[in-house]
Order: sequence, then C-alpha cells, then structure tokens
Amino acid sequence: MSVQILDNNAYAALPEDMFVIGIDESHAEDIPRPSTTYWHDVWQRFRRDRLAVIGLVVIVIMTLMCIIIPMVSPYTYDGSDYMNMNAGPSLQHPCGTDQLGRDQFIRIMYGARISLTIGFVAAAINFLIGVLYGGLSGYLGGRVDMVMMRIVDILSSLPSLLYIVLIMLIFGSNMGSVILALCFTSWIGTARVVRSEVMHLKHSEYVLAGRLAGANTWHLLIQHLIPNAMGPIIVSTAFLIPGAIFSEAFLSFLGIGIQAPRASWGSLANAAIPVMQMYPHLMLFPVIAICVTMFSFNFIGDGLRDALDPRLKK
Amino acid sequence: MDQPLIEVKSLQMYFPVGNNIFGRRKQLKAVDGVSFDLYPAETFGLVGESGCGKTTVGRALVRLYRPTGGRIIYRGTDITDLDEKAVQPYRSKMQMIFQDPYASLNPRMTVSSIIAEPMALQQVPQADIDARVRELVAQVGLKQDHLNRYPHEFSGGQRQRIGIARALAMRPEFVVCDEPISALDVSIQAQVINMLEELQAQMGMTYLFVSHDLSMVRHISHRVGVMYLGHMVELAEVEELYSNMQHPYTQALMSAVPIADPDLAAQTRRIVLQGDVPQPIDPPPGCPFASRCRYCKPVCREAMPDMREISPGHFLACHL
Ligand SMILES: Nc1ncnc2c1ncn2[C@@H]1O[C@H](COP(=O)(O)OP(=O)(O)OP(=O)(O)O)[C@@H](O)[C@H]1O
Ligand SMILES: [Mg+2]
Repeated sequence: MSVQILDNNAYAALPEDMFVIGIDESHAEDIPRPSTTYWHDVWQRFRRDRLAVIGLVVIVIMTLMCIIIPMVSPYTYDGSDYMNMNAGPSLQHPCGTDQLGRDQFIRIMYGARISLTIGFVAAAINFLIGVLYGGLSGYLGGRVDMVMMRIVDILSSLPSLLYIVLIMLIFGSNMGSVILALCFTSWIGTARVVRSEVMHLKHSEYVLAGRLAGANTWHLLIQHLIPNAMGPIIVSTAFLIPGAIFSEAFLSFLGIGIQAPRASWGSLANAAIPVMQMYPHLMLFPVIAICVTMFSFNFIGDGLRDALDPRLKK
Repeated sequence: MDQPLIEVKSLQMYFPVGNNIFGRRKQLKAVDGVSFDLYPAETFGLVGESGCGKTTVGRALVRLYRPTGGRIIYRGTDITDLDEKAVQPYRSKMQMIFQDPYASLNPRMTVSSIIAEPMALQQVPQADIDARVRELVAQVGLKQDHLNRYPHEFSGGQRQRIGIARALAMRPEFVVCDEPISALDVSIQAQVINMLEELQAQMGMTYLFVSHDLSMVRHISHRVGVMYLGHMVELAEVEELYSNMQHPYTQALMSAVPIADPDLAAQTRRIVLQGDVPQPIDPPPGCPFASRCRYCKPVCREAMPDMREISPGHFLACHL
C-alpha cells in the first residue's frame, strides 16, 4: 500500500495530498454476468434433476386430473352402475368398478382430491406454525427458548396414535379432524429446523445492521431471518407432504380416517381387502396411486434439497 | 475543545461463557473499564490485536450490546441502559460500517431495498426514499443500474460502498467503522478510505475507526486509542502517539509495522512479544500486559495501573 509509515520526521516531510491515493475511481466496476436471483439459480439446479422433474410433472398432472375429471365425468363417487358390479378394467370403467358398481377411477380421483388437499393444507399449517414458533424461539433465545423447546419436547413424546384417535373421536371422521390430527405435532420438525437456522443467522452482520436501522423482532424475522432460512424450511416442508398423505391413507385404511361413501385411497384399499383374491384390481389401483404419489413427492423433496443447499448433495 | 459527542466512562462488556447449569458461570471480559471521549467531526482510531475487544467497544457504543457496566453518554444523555425501543432515536444518529462486506448485506435483498431499509423503518415517505437512495448511490460511487441487483453480484469494494450508503442513509452524526477495509484489496482500500474522508468532510460525521492497519489509522485518525485485552492502555493525538509512544505494548505494536525505506528498516529493531496472550476469561489481577511485558515489575502483577495524563491529551495506563 502506498500509505506506508516511515519514521515520524519522514512522515511530517510528506505533503498531505500524497495520501489521497491516486486511483482512477472511474474505472468501471462493471458487472458482466447477467443478473440472476437466488431463486433463479435454484430452479436451474432443480431442472437438472431428472427424477425431481418427473415427480413434479406427475404431481401437476395428478392435481389437474383430480380437479377436472370429476367435473366432466359422467360418474360420481357414489353413483352405482348396477349393470357392472365388480367389473374389471374396461374402456367404460378404466379401473373397473367396486362391489356396488361404483366407478373405481372416479373414486380414485376423489381420493386424490382428499390426499392432495390434506398434503398441501397440512404442509401449509406446519410451515406457518413451525416457522413462527421456531423463529421466535431461536431469535429470542435464552430462557424463552428453553421453555419453548421443553414444550416441544413434551409434545413430541406423546404417543401419536393416542391423540389421533382421540381427536377423531371428538371431532368426527372428516377431513378437518384428519388435518388437525396430522398437524398436531408434525410442525415440530420444521420448528426445530427454523430455530437452529435462526440461532445461527441472528449473529450475522446484516441482522445487526437491521437492528441499527430500527427493525423490531418481527421485521427482523420476516425480512432477514426467515428468507435466509428458506432453503431448509422448504426442504423440511416438502418432506412433510408425503408424510401427511401417507398418514391419512393409513388412518383411513384402519377405518378411523375418511369414511365411506367418501373415497380416500386408504379407505378404498381397506374396502378391497375382503374381495382382494377375486377382484385384485380393486386393491391394485389405489395402491398404485399411493405409491406413485409418495415417490413423486419424495423425488421432489430430494431435488429441492439438492437445489436449495448444494452443500448437502452427496 | 467542544462538548464531546459521546463520553464513554469505564465501559464494561462481559459475556457469559460456558456451562450455566453445572458449576459457576464464567465471564469473558471482552471490554473491561474503557474510557474515552469522542468529539464532533473527529476520527478516533482504535487499534489492538485481534480479540482485544475493539469490535465489542464499537457495538456497545451503538448499543447493539447492552454494556454490563460503565456509562455511555450521548450528547449529555445517558443511553447505557435504554431498551431497544427507547434507544432508537439515538441510534438512528449512530451507524456502523461492518468488517465483512460479504456478511453485512442480506443476500435476499436488492441493493435499493438494503439502502432504503433504515428510511423505510423510520416511515420516510416512499418518494423521498427513492430520491435519497439515488443520491446516496451517486455519493458512494455506484451506478443507478446497480440498484435492482443482489449483493452477490458485486465485488467486495462495491459491497462495502453499499454498506456505507446504508450507514449514511439517515445522515448519522457518528459512524463506527469496524475494520471497513481489512477484507478488501489494497487498491480498493485506498478508494474506500478516500471516500470515507470525503464524506466526513462533507457531512461532518464523527468516526470511530477500528483497524489493525496502523499506517491507515495514522493516516485517517485525529486521535488514537490502543487497546490490549479489553483495556485501553494508551490514548493520544495521532502524532504524539506515533512519535512519543510510552506503553510497552504500543511500542511492540508499532515496531511490527513494515517500513518502506530499507535503510530505516535496518536501523529499527522489531520488538517481538514473548509469552502468550492471556484469555480474557478470569484474568489474573494486575496489568493485563504484565505476562508479556519486557519491563514487568512486581507491582505490575498486583495492581491494575490507572489511566493518567502524562502530557496534555496523552493518557497512559502503565506503572512505569
Ligand atoms: N457475543 C459474544 N459472546 C461471547 N464472546 C464474545 C462475543 N463477542 C465477542 N466475544 C469475545 O470477546 C473478545 C473480544 O472480541 P472482539 O470481537 O471485540 O475483538 P476484536 O478486537 O474486534 O477482534 P478482531 O480484530 O479479530 O475483530 C473475544 O475474545 C471474543 O471471543
Ligand atoms: Mg473485530
């Protein structure tokens, strides 16, 4: 550097303007690279993951189908075709019909509505509660954090089947109570992820700068902490969706979830048990639907994890 | 001299460290009894080894930390114990330029929203914010078309300029420059320093300039304080300090500055410090520098030397 210190006498002999260092400030610090945002980069990485893209396409198609097909189909989930009972797959009934002559395909589509709704709603609720709870706990720290985390520890040590059955008994077997039961503790994982991210981020200099700028806790969380913790939050939420869908199918399969005549993939599979040997298609198609959905969501989750946090990639 | 802008009186900042469930809770004495005054429009340099508490002093002054002891008087008002809300009116007059230009800008915000944030939070009308952001960007030598970009697209020097624009947004009276150039290339360092000096000339701000770089501190500061292990050991006007340094630690620190002239360099002897830096956790009594001091006397290990004025404006904490 040109501002070198000589001994004091030499320094005093130097003119003051020697220290305005002659650098051409106009030399353009131009930015050659096109402006890319974080989310743009994430999408580029996600796109390269073939399985994740296939998963995404499958889920989009399934979502569109379960919205549109029940609107245009001649069949309803509880309408019987008494000419064709227990029929195998045909042009008229692509997945066959059940014991009461109900079109299995349309019932699977209604099941998809339930499964996807539960998956997305449960994920959204978990996201909201988990982010707020974990964010506050991590940011406030100290004693507040201690108490909030002990509460979470107690909640997560409750046996899940116990409170799920209780909730279903109290609120009845409908979609709302299934969602309530599934969300009761599953936000805890998200909350823990958010908490540890926030504890780490809250010491960043940009958060200090935010405090100097006059930001309150709420602004710091919304503007600085949560957006920067978004990667892990999204990944943990993405893996919650298949979990919620599977739990609903499982509960309905056990007969404590969605009840007939409403169709859920779990209750369709349950209804197929007694006749499984004679009419295997009644079991086959709901199970395929469950498997395809689970795989797709898990592939999406893996792809998102790799895209959002390249460091985690194996 | 005028009224001081900020008076710092035996500032203490202890951090709790280690296990707090079993056993005694230990304290890390990052800053332990530091006193000095800052006058309007002056640059006060703060030098010392890594870990001696320079950043902690800076952050405590702008009340990012709540000091565990001592007083901070801002224009006659004691702001030491004000809570986050009450301190805000003072804090918008105090800003900070951070050490690490990569960590001090939120990567998810555009340059314009980073610079505008302090104004948006103080309810400045949007039209005024836009105008001020443009003005600031020009002042720190960035281009208007940089405004909608994200921090990762900029070089370290440009990021530091963004950080400076943010610090200046509310027209502060006092800016803590926490090693604003240590992460930058040498040529960029000069640009940033020149810019800080120009801005000070235009706006009459007071700087607390923290740095390792003794030649830069000499260049930019009016007065300099030397810190060692949480204590201020020597404080004087810049020329007085650089020509008539008294504290053995200051002498060791200065002798480590590389000298451009080879003849001069041959004449000067480097003082190499012996011994380890003690931890600021439960430090021994006495002078903090005793364990490494060449002139250490028995009294140095027993009593903490007081800060005394050895000549007008030149303060020294040493038994010698
Ligand atoms: N928030 C904190 N909690 C606990 N200890 C801290 C905290 N901040 C700083 N310290 C400790 O206080 C001491 C002084 O740190 P500080 O960052 O002020 O030093 P510094 O002089 O700025 O060093 P550098 O030149 O490396 O930036 C160090 O030992 C550090 O580990
Ligand atoms: Mg520091």
